[in-house]
Amino acid sequence: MAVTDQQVASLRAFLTAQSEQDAERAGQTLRQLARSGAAEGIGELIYAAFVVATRRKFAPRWTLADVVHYVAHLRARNAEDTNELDPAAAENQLRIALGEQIAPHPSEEDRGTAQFILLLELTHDLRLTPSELDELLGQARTLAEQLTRQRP
Amino acid sequence: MPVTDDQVAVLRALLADDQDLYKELYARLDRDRDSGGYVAMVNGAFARAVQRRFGTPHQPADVIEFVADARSRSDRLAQEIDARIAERVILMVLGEGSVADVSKTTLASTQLLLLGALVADEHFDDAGLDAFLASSRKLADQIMG
Repeated sequence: MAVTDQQVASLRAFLTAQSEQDAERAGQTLRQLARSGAAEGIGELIYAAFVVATRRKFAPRWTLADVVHYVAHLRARNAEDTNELDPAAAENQLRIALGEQIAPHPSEEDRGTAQFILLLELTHDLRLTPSELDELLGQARTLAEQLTRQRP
Repeated sequence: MPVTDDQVAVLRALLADDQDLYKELYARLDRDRDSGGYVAMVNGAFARAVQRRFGTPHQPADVIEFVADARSRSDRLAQEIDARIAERVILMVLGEGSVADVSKTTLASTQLLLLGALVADEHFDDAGLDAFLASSRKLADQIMG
């Protein structure tokens, strides 16, 4: 099943939210989509957008130290709420997104939360113009559709 | 029982990055007789090093960034130091939180790895390292009661 325009638009709205209220509203729409009959594809789209954003941030060459420092930088920036982003999950997911063959770690829930937070932070840090964000989401959509086709 | 010169010498060799001497001196320690004093010495040195580095007041971000810096010095350190546990071990010395749920083995290895990074950043000369260890020994003696 293909990723829908509505799913892409919802993710775009979430990533470009200008206020906490907008982010909350967009987040609710994403959660509703994930729960509804249109659920298929949204998880892959979020994951694919995370992978594309990660590669934009770190490619072409990166080291484990780069990943460690980046995660710490994000956590230090939000130091009053350091429990939110699990450093082990965040580093693990970034390394896998960058193509390293390592076992996923720690729990699926922590990894999913880390992907979501990292996607938001990465797109913020990349300072994308609206057209660059559209291009990123276009690449993510293509990757997500490949992932959904590969799913058993 | 106070910390002995032999126990201090082992830690000194380790912190001076003299691996051959460290292995030689460590092998000479008596597991039953020396382990309490050596662990107290590591604890004392770690507490002193954390106090020197962070002092008061400190920002949570400083601790997060130091741990990341220590872990990024090698892939081995990145794998062996758990970021959250390391931050909690440092914060405990600074009077925040607890590490009661962390195993003694993890606690000891984390302290030792962080201590190496903290001391390396001090760039002590011989006299400076001796003064640091003397101060740490006083604290270790208090720990030993």
